[in-house]
Amino acid sequence: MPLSTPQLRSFVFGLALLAGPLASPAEEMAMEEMQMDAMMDSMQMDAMHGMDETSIELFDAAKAVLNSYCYECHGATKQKGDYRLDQKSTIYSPGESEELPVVPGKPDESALFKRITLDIEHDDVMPPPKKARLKEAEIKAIKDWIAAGAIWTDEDVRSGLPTTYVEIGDEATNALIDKINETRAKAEYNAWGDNSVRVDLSVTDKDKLKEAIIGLKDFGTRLAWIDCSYLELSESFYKNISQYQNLERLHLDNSNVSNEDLKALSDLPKLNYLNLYSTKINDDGIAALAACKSLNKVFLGSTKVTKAGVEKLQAANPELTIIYK
Amino acid sequence: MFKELNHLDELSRRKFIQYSAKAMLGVGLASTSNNLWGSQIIGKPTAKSVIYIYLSGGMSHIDTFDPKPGWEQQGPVQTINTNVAGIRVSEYLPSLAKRMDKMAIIRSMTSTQGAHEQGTYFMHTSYEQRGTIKHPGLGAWLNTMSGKTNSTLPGNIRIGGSNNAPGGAGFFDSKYEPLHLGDPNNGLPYIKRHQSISEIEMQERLAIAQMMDLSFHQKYPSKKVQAYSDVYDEATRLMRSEDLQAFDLNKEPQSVRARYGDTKFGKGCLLARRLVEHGVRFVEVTHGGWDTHNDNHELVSNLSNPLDQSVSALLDDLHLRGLLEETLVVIGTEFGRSPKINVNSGRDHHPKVFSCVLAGGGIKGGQVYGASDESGHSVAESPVTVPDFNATIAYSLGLPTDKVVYSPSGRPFQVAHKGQALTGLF
Repeated sequence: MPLSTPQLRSFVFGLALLAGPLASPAEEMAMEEMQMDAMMDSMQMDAMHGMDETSIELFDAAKAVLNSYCYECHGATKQKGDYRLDQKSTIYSPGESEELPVVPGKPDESALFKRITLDIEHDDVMPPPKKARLKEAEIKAIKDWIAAGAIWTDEDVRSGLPTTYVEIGDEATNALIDKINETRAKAEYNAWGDNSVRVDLSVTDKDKLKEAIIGLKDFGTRLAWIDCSYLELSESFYKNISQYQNLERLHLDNSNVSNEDLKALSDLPKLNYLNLYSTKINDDGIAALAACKSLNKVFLGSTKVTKAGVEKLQAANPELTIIYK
Repeated sequence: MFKELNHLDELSRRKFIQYSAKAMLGVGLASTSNNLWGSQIIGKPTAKSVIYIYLSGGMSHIDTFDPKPGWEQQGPVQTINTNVAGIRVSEYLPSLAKRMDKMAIIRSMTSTQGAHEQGTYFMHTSYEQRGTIKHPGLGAWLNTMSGKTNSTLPGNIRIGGSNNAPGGAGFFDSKYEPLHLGDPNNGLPYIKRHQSISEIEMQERLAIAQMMDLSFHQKYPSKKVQAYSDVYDEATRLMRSEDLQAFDLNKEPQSVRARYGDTKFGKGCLLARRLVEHGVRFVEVTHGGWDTHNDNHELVSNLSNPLDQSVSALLDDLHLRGLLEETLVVIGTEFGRSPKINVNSGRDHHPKVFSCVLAGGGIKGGQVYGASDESGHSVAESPVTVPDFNATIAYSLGLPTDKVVYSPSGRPFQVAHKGQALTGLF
């Protein structure tokens, strides 16, 4: 480890100023985690070696042989001579006789292989003389497996066989997303295959809202979903909303949207979800929604909209689902 | 190899492994960016957030969502109609019965784990508990895979239950660990600066700490070290956040609080709604005590009251606010309870078949998936394993269930351990 304790201590002490009683366990943890880190990283290399089809086939063949001949005495229940051959953590380590059961790549140095190939008269022969002998093909399976590196692929490693995975997005859009995310607005791909984007403006840092709205413009028709809940937006923002011609969902709940602002929405040909919960909208405002032909869901709870207003809108647009009470 | 690796300094060893990973597997390891794949989600996400109602102890399925009126040991509980023709539930759930059109009941859940700890672990992580690794819960998967939404609030919050319940950050960075709130009434404790310290003093202290850490950071620019200062940054940002009011239940009108009920669980549900509204992506609310080995029916009846009332209020509220479409409400538990009533009038652990519920988040309401047999003992049709269930949640969030993610130890994991999402529910 390239870390010395005094250095670590000074770092942790900095934290200690604030954290007080936490410092000591934190120090231990930091040490422990760094050691783990190093160990894990090298274990990672092991795992990576084990992930091709051939080594899995070899392992399966060898494991089947071990299973039928060895595990009665060198498995989970008994470990004669302190050798256990049914798990990765022990298959490479010596037991009482201080021989290595399996030396990756070297069958001739592996006690396992040596013993199964000994003459039946030999003291060290395995399996013991009274038990069944391995067949030629089975001995070969063990040999091939060891020779190819004796890779032990447990269940978890197997599931890691590479699967196909298509990443969405393109460079230009990525750059726009990164840029607007600097304002802490949350932009991400909608990921339904068309590289369209949704942006949550409501979580933007308050002093960067203007910047975020400027950044939003660059998305243009890429934008399918905007969340403006809880925001105080300018009149011109609403007026210019039709520049996002592919907008499908718009959250204006708890925002300052006014009756007048809703008129611009009819210029959005794909808008299907509109949330106006807890706004100052009233019947006059929603009358304008009758012109939004693509709309199929609108939320009007906690507004000044009356039952009469809802009925009128419903009559004008029978397909529309109005969530009102 | 092992020793040589340790002799390299941190950075170059990491780079070496990264390059080898790229070369051998064609993949990069966790990048330095905030989340693992930017926002690389797959499929059409139907939900943005999750409110996971966890009934710890093991909810008796046949006394709640999967009643068996014909079964001799059903005990003293009647079944009632719901607002969806043909679907009946137990009389303990009168309000939820009126909202059946918003829910999908899965009656063929089956688990391999019959003990609380293991069962809870399995439900939360989709993996069986092991000594060698800690698996992440769904909240951590969601936040690593598609990022948190609110910039200052934590993305993963747990209300009630125990602080070290399974299904936390697992092998992911500790910043994905759920923030645990013991009592919803208290909101987020210790978040205010101490009165004896002024803002300026606090700034100064932070600056001193930063100064002291600086040389260490430069010398050891490792992720683990960075994580410590990240925690401080996030905490101070949270202290100043305007969104802190999300934690304050007093901001809700009395009428709303009354609908959720004056119970810890009810307040937890209300808080969960407030948090989701403010962009928190994963909130788990624990409702404990379902381990009804004794006096099963009386206990289940008592436990069902707050469940019925608060979840109904939650569904109504989310619906009215236009949030139910993008918020998946999950009712989960580690296993069901035995159809046979034991000598203490109780029911014992029964992982063979049990029920869970999904609502909102793109789920088509008013349906029942799968079935148990006539006594509620075994799965009769369409078994749903725990990984399948979690894959369904992941699917609704648009998370790639086939994406293999490597733990720091290099072992591959998937968000729902190869579970198959029940896409027919959407």
